[in-house]
Amino acid sequence: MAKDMMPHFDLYQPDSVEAAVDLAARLGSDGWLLAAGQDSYDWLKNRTKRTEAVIELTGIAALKGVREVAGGIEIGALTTLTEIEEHPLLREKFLLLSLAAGRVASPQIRNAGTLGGNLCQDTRCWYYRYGVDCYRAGGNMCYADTPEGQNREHAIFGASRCVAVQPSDTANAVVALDGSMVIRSAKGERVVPASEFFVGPALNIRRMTVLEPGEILTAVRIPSTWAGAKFYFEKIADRAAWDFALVSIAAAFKMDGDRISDSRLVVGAVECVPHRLTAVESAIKGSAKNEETGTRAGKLAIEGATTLNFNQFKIPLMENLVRRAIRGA
Amino acid sequence: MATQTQDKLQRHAGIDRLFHWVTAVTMTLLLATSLLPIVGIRFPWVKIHWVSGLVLTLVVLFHILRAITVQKLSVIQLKGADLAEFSGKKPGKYSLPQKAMHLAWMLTILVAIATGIVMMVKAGTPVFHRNPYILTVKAWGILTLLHDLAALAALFLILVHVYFGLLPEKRMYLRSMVGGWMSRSELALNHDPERVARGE
Repeated sequence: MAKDMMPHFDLYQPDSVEAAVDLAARLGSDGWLLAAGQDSYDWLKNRTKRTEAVIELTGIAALKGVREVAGGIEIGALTTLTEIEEHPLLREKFLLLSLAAGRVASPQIRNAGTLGGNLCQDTRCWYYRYGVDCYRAGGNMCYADTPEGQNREHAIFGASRCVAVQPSDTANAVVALDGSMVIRSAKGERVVPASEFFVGPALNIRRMTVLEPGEILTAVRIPSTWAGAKFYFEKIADRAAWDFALVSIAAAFKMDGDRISDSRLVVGAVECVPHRLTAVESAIKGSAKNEETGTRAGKLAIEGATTLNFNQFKIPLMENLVRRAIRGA
Repeated sequence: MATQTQDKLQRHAGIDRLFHWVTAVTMTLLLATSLLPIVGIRFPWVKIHWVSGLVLTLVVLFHILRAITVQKLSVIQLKGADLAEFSGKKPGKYSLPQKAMHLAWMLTILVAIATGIVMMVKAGTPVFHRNPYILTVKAWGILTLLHDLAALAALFLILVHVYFGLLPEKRMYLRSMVGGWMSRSELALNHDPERVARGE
């Protein structure tokens, strides 16, 4: 397989959202939406996925930048991860998102990579990415969940034939901040809560998000609900940089004195969607933010986890991350 | 066939009617969960599908056991002698089309169940340890094809079954599957009461 050159495709470089939407509508599933290409180029160059046409979105200025809007902020989908990591407004009000963006891959990738691309990237299951005909690729099999399957990085929650996990670091933060996704298409605009934006295999085994062909994620809105809250983000990976999470946690806490009045805890890389711990959030409401509460929450968090052959370690890892998030934020 | 009242004759026992309707519900769930996602109606269908399949398997096993031990299998068996109905001879409890429908259902459901149970090993359910390597990729493909063909056949059979069940002149069969009875005159009009009495 020739991997040194890109395969042929038609390249479209619209300079406005309207032009991009028109192109996306015209090309439908034949039009590959390209942000910075950190995920896309893998697929295309390896010939694992092919496309007739690529719509490169990076020339659209309206899709970049962080803006204050009524009730919160709006981040253009093509804002780079470095900008999100360093933006003063985000660091002041929504540090959680900055921390998450700052843990994506490496500085070089964050300089080019965008929030929209990070949120919409495909899963890292290596069987799927290698190009085997698994369920997610339209085939009739999962090769990761087998007696000999290499599934160290795979799901412990929400598996349904496919056991791949959501690889995005920023997705967990956006869900924890009650964010919403602004989606444009030829039919108009729709806003989807981040918690409903990501889809698991039980709902749609071929996709990671609700985006339909012809639809473009144009912005992410973060309401002021969690502005200035106590935040905690931690990502455990095999390497400190340029790696995907084995397990990560994004947490936000509102305090009433020394008691937790409200919280959001979202665990990454354990399910095909950001795994929100609603039961834990309810259980710790009114509790002190300390080791004891953290230990109790950790035990509750892992209830219902189902491991595969090689990912049992994710259970104590997740339990400890929840404990540390509550203790340490 | 026991007499209930002077005019009402029992056609289906309560347990057999229960079997029919449980089968109907599970088949509806199985077809809905398999076909609706294909036409774009997305919902978590896999669990509902295999649980319905297991319920169907259990009731079909019960039905087979009951048919072999308590009931007379020959009542529903399609035989060459049934062709005499074309020359005007009245049938016993079941007419030739009813026997043919039962045979078609039997084959369809047995194929769907047999292939579906093996496919559960691959799909990942609490019932079996997941292992797709028990068969080759080609064998899985054939198995899936058979399962899907059985599903399409079931869809066709349901359409035929419901159509004839709702026809005014056949509606007493639907009523008998709900209330269990058929009138003496209805039986005499459509069946040979003597053959019915002999258990044919």
